Amino acid sequence: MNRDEVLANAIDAMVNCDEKRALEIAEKAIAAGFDPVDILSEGFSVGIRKVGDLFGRGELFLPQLIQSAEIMKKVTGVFESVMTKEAAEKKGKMVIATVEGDVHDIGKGIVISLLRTQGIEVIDLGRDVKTEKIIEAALEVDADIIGTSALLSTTLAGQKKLEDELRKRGLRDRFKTMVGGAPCTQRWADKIGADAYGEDAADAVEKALALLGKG
Amino acid sequence: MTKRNLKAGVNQCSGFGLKMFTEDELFDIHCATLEVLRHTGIKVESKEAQEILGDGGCIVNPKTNIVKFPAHVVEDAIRSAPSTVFLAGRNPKHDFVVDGKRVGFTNFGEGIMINDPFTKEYRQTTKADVGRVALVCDALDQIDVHERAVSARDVHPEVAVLHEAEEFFTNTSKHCFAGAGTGRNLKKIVEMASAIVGGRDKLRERPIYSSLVCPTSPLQLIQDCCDVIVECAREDICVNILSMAMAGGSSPVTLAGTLVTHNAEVLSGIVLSQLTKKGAPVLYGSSTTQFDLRYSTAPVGSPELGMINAAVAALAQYYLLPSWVAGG
Repeated sequence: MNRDEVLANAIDAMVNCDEKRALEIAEKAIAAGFDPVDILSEGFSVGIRKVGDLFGRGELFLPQLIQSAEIMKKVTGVFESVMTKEAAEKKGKMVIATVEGDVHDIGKGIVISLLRTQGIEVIDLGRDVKTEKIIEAALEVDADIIGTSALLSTTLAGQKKLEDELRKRGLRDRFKTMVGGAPCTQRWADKIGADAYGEDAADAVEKALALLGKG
Repeated sequence: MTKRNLKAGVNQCSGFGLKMFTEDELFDIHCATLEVLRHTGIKVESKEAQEILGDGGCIVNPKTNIVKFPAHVVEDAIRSAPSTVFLAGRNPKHDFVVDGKRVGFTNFGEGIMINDPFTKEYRQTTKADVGRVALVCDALDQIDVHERAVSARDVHPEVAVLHEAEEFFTNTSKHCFAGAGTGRNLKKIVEMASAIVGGRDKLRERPIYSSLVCPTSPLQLIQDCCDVIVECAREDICVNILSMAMAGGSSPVTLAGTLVTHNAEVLSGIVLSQLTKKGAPVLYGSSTTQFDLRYSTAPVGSPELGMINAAVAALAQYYLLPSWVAGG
């Protein structure tokens, strides 16, 4: 197998969500002495990005999105054991949380899966997360973007609280902020001073990449 | 003229219905639910609720917050929850009884945007809108009980429901449902309702308000949900324990599987209610639908929602419990 064949097979295995095949290709590539970083970034990563695009277009569905993310995790695991330098360069880092008082996180989960397919490192803080904790986490991991999700009109204010807290602590310029969720609108995002609003998962990815300057 | 005598001992069927299951099939769903409740359990966030459940015979793991429900505890709760619930209106002519297979109608309760009837502007709902919609519902004969229709988005979210109560109590004399949100707010609404009917004891006799809670799918009762169930039981306020599972999203992708986890969630809430105070009134609620795996959304107008509604009603009737199904 030459490099082009390996890459083509890797992409194909990802798009077809074929875990067995993906892992086989990964093992074979290592055995044949190919550069793991190269195969990951030009093969598997390209494949998962394609999955993300197809999902955004409604051609692949949620189960495939989740499945491809699982496969990517396993494939990366296989390569990590032989890699000496950093894996495929991450496009950026984002912390994301459902705001305080809100336990809805299905939409957030989908956004995270899709963001990860596009090579963005996402740290999921979970749900019902206090503003202070979100800021602490963002500082700790040196995030590029802070994303918040809210499903209730009564918890939406948590997104404004984050903006106000960041400003109060003089941290506003350190991060880009992004908001989303059912009661959230572009108008609300503008009102509270958030940098971007994601209407759905595909939109969130576009906006995130734009904020990272990689759109 | 031809003589036609009276018949003796006839079974009659009146009204039109959708029969989804046989008793055997309902028993299957029930058994599967008991299995989930006993072996998987429910994640209960409230320490107070864990204590109540533990004292009532459930197996509590305080580290994981998982509570497992033995079958007899569940079945006792189903038995002790009343089959007939009396919902009073501020005006007795609007009193309403929920029982058996009687069908009642209410309006939907989660609007956050409105087409302003006067300016035609599409805008956020306000406290005033809550009152106006209540007034319209008051006038419509088809609406038997009122559910707070829209959110007052122009007041502080933590006390919004109290502002909303002020509006719906004054604009309709029908029985009112509203999710209290927290145990604290529930107590305040009870105070308001008591003041309206002339005292706490009068409210017990003529409850003009009922509450709503939502278990979190899959298989969780979060702090606020537990608090409101417990407070309602203590205050003899009827609580609608309503789950909104999304098949393929927060519950199994099959409708039967979803019915099982939905059932486990609602029954766990009913057990908590009955162990807090035996005989406390509850409604078996559902907004459960399927999850659209292509658009990642929960279509509440899908055929599956209708099927699940019928299934939930069949289950509730099997348990001899009053029920409330979507979209309400």
